[in-house]
Amino acid sequence: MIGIIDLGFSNVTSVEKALVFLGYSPARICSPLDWKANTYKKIIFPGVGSFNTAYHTLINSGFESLIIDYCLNGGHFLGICLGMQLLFDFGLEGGKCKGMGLVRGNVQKIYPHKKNEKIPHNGWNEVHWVVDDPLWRGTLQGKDFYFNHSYSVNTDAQYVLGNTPYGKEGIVSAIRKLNMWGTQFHPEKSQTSGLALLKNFIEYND
Amino acid sequence: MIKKRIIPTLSFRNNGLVKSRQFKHYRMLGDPVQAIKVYNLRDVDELIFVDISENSKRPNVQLIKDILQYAFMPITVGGGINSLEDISCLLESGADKVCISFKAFENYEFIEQAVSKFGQQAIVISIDYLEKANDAYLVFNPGFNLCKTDILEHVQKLSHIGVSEFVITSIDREGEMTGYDLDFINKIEKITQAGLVMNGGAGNYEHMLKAFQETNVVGVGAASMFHFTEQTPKGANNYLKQNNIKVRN
Repeated sequence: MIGIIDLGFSNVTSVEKALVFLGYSPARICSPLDWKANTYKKIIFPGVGSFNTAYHTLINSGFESLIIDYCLNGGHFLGICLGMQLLFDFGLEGGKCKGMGLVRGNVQKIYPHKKNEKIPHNGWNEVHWVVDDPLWRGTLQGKDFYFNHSYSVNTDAQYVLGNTPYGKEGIVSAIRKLNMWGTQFHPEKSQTSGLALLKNFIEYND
Repeated sequence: MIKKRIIPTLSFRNNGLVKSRQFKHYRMLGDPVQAIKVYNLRDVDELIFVDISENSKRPNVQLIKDILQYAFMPITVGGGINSLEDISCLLESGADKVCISFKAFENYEFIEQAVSKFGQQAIVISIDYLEKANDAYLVFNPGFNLCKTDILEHVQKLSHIGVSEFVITSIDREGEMTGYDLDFINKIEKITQAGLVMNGGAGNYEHMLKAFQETNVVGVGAASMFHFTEQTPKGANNYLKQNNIKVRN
């Protein structure tokens, strides 16, 4: 069963509609009860907004421990935008705030490098995939995806799946650790490339 | 690097999509949901959807929710935005940005609050203008209300309070398909760092190329050329790419 964690973030519906368009029947997980009532093989966590606020929502809703358990037990997980950032040790948006600590690294502000680079990093930008992975299956190299964020992930090279040229040090645009994937960009808003990526995530069997 | 954007624009009036010339002479185009589905299949970069219905005092949230089901690309929604709650409703329904016209002219403080609450990336200001005998006017729909004003000062004020994107529509050229008003954009570029999207007048791919070669616009809007000719957003993308403009791939 495919679940989409729904903590009230605005991109939940878009992700849901994208999966329906692809022919799947995802279920929204709105509460820990919803989660415990079903067995999920694939979970997508779309998030937008501030790291600090979102992390507290995770704790207060009871979802943090469920996500950690699910991931530690090998379930396939895809975090989108803030949903990816929350996997890390801590974030600096709105003051230093702890994250779920499932992947080593942190989340910090993007520093513009060139004159015309603005913050937030908003628009279509290319993803350079640095290692083979079922998430992009060899067909999405150099494709543009839709980004909209002011903070980005800083992590060990071993977890980096994709990079995007922007800011002083480039942006980590996709990560993977074992059964957990994350994209900084919004596949649900990235047209054919985004839909292909979502399909790859759902179809992958290890 | 961030790519230049080709943005089909859709105007909704009362019961269906319309296309106007110079913000008048509306022609019915049909069902908005159908149009979104087609643009989705056409793999567009982005869409701007504006509700210019005659009695629109608030956004038509149900309509927006209906069309957003098929929008797998970023979409800017405008029309009838009067409160922070209106903006909240639209963003929660799945819109990526909201487009505000009259309220930005009437109340700068409102825009400042909107930018602060929702983030710069969520707020776009619409500048719909025409020029008559050396004076520039802002035009507000519904009702085609003219307001003589210093448009450069208006854009400057909004830029200072955090607006990071403007859609600039030439009403004189709208629907005419004779090319964009590049002179006007050049004037605006001198007084703001915000991203500008040029709109009104696109008739062919060459007009779009000229806009990207002769100005620093971040995107171009177009409607008539996609509705009434065989040209397509994909065709525009290919043409621009062949001419070395960095567009989406």
